[in-house]
Amino acid sequence: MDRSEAMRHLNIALAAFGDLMRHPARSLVVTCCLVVILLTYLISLGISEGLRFQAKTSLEEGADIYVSSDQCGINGPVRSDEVLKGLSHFEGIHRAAVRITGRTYFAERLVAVVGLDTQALEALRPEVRGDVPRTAGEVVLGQTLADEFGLKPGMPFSLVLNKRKVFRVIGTISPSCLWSSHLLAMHLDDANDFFGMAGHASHALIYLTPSSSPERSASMTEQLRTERFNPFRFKVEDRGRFQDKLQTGYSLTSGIDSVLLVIGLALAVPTLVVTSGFGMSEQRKETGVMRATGWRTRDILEKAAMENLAISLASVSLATLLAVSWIRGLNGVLIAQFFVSEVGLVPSVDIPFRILPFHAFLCLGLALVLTQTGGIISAWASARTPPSQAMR
Amino acid sequence: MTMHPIIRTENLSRWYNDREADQVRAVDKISLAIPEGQWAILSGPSGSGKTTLLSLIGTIERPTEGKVFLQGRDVTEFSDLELSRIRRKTIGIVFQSFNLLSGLSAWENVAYPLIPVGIPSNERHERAATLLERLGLGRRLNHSPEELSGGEQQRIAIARALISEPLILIADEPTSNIDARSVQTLIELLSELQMEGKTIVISSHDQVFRHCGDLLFHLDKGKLTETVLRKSSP
Repeated sequence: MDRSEAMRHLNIALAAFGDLMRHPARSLVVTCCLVVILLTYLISLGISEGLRFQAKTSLEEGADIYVSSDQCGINGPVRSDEVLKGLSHFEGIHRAAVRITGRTYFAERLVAVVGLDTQALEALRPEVRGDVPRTAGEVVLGQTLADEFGLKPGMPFSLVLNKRKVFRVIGTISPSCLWSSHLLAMHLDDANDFFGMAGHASHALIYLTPSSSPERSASMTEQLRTERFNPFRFKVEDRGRFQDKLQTGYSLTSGIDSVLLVIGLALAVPTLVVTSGFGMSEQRKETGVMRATGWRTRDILEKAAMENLAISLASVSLATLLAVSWIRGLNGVLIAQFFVSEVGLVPSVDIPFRILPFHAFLCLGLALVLTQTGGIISAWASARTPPSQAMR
Repeated sequence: MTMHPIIRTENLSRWYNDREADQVRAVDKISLAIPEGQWAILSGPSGSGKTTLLSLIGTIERPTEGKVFLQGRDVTEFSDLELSRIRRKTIGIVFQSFNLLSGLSAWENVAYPLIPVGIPSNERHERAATLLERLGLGRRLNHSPEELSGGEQQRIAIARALISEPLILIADEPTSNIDARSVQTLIELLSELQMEGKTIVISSHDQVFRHCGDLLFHLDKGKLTETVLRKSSP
């Protein structure tokens, strides 16, 4: 590109930015429309990524191998003594524990119930306001659940599934993790009693020595699956398997996001075409003047493209800033409920949110598609109209 | 001064509406020739086709029939790109309502055609300032059109038409939006430009031009009804 051509591009770019400033109302309307579309999409992407990241982090911090029984392909409970006895002879295991995970109704609300051994409950302590369960009947609750039912430490309650079992709140779990918002955590024995499954656990968790590699985890999983070590035909899955499941789930979520994107596009294109028509007669007249004074069609299209690029960049920056402020600053008040179920208008649990550069680029692409579709077509139509007609 | 026609039309027509009943023949089979360096005036009542004929000569309108020759080349079949080049290098147009861009200063309006040429901003400013200085608007460089009188706006429009140093200057009803004093200034300016070798074509139904120009083309209902030779002619 010679100097004159480079200067031509620079001149047109500067003229484009200048023209955006000359028509503030039109620029503002198009930018606002774009920001509304992009903000919704960014919040959806950011929450989705935040959830995935939170799940990934908890998985990475969790056990290396999970043992359950296989009930027609679905994970079933195991006998705690059998599985722990079998594992006790196995070398290279740092810790093995059993856990109960289940669901029940707290009044009309479906909640998660977790029964943990004493060591695992102690590990929860940094996340708990109050105390962790140590004696029978003590539970800690997710913050959202506690807020919803007005439960405070010391208050007793029972649940429909097992009314004779009386629990007492001794703490609440910090709202920093969405997964614990509707959680009841109690001692393993209490969970056994509550579900009427004495001596059973949902699964056993195996923690390998901290220095163990993923290959070591995979090799141990294979060994545990062999007949010699697994006379009860337990189902053995390593962390990688769960990570794969998480990724599959996330891909599904991404698929839903993509569908939302397509719907958004379908709605946004006509919106932008209409809004870009705002001030259209003046734009058409100016295009006529430009053509009459020697501007070529490609110069006009280049200027329109530059205007759209500037509007897109501004919109993406603004939408990102608003999305981060809304979710991080206001914890997604009013909007989070559309993307995370059961958090309500004013979420009491921290809404997970993570924006990656990829998301911003995706939004920029979306913004460019929308603006170029609306802007270039109208600019092209004006530029192709004979100048004398365009100026009328 | 050469006498070769720089502008020539051959059976030039421009009709609006395809249906015969509604058809308006704004320009109907007009053939004329304007030699280089001459000042031609298109006169006639309102609706006689002066503006349409100027638009066709200025290549901002495509004819329905006939041909327009500029510097001997038939521009009727020119591509959009070639016509842009003509408008950039050969023709400068002053519109009846000036069509200045609001929000731009006087010098920015004048220099606007130079943007896609790749001329740096400082050079554009310099060229526009020189022209505006010459047209008596040296102190109005940074004023927006809205802040200026009709006569001043017209001079900005003339400066914009002249910024690319065209051979032909076309002006549509240049006296319709200015006061009597500005009309006299305009006539002097156009005479000066003609002296510099520019070919000038204006449309006007104003009698102030009765003593001006070299050629007078009288139009009525889209037809050329009379050609008056005033000074030299081909």
